[in-house]
Amino acid sequence: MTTNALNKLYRDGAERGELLVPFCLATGRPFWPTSPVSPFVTGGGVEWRGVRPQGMLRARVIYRRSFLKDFDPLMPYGIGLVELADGPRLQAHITGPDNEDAPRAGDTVRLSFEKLLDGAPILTARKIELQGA
Amino acid sequence: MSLSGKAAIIGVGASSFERRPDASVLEMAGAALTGALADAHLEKEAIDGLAVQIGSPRGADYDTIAQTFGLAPRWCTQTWPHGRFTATILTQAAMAVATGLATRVACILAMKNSDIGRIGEKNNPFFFEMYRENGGPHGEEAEIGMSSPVAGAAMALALYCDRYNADRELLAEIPLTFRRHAQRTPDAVARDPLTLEDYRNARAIIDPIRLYDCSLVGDGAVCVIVAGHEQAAAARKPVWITGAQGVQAGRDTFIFAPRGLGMAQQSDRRLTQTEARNQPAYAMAGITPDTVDVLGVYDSFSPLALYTLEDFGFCAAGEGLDWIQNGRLDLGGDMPTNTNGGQLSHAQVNGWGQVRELVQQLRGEATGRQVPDARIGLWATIGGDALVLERA
Repeated sequence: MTTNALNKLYRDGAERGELLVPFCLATGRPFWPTSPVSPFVTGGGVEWRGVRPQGMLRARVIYRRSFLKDFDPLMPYGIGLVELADGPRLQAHITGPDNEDAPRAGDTVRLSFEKLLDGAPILTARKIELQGA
Repeated sequence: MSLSGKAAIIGVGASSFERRPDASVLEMAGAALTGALADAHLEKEAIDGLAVQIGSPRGADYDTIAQTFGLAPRWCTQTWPHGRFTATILTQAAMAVATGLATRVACILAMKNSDIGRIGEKNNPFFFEMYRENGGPHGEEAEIGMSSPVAGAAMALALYCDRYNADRELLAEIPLTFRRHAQRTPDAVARDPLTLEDYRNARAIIDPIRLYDCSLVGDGAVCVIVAGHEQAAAARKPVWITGAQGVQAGRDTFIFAPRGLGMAQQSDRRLTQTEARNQPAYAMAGITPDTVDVLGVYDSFSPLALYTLEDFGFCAAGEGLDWIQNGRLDLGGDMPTNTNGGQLSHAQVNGWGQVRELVQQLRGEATGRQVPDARIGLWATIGGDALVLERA
């Protein structure tokens, strides 16, 4: 998907290393995927805001066969379904999913935009240990 | 006005289903159409409606089909070229004949995949879906490497197993059972024996989905002729459409997950079994899951069959893996399912093969795999669409 009005703010944020998502102005709730109008309230206004780049990994998959040539250098890689601490769920890349330190379901993860390949930074989930845990 | 009993399937036909890169997709569509007309004892001039799924570039569009085969339909429609629209096409045809827009509608799926690239390659039409605004239809996001429908099915299965602390190995019962059914079906493409060891040892495609959890991408066509009440009543062995419901969408759905599993933006609230037993198609037909004699489910990936059993009330949410054990889906089991082998072993024709199989079962013509005295058949998918079919 090329950059357009729907994703420009997200991608600009990604280049700065900031995770931005749209918020419904009427309810104050963040949502995903992006939309020019709130999915919660008819015609509801939308504002992009930063969210904490942290959440819980709900599930993950591991690519054992390549389906996308651009990502071959990262094989095998994982994709995780991450529930943000601030609300919506996003999907994020997981590097080295077979490694011991790779995040697994139930783990707390931090999301960051990483330059894993040439081109745009990729939203990536890494396991973090909670303080006091 | 209820659609129940207003239309019936009066003919089915199919091409062969092996991969034939040198064949024409119109040749496949023609074989299916001719077969369905012969089955219905009709000449082509009796067809005045045409409903098509897939279309170009993988299939043939309605205009080409009509022109090529000398049809002169006065009512035509065509859907998005994806699975999940089988019941939708047949329901549209039923609505057309029930409202006088047509009297007999030829409903055709024809597609050829053997001459295009594999999924993920640029000469496969699915490639561009991962670049669709707000992601592909199965959760694809090219920007992070989330590519191929397999990945969406894998993510939902991972989530399901984690949520219910389920033993993923129990899923083997689905592909193994359907393979046994395919061995009794002469035109099934995968008839070699499949053992539990084969299943477990097969390579993972995208963990946790393995090779035998995936349907066989191939070629073929199916035609189903839907007729109005008057024409159907005069037909040889009409199979009546007595219940229907459509594809569902929205934030509580995900194409490869049951409602409320927690994929994407879904809630975590699964259907109660009471809700599942009162799906609109059941209500329209005045039946419950208990009265279904033979079941067809969408199984492009094996977990989809599992979820469909739960969302259509055959068992409770999260209990499907235990429920399907001990031959429950087998011929002779409590709920004979995908008795031709389904998409996993018969042919990946988006479920049209299962609908054709249900018609043959309800007519008592499923030689070698007949469910005794089958009167009520259900076609159901995890996308929410369903048809209740009944013999007269």
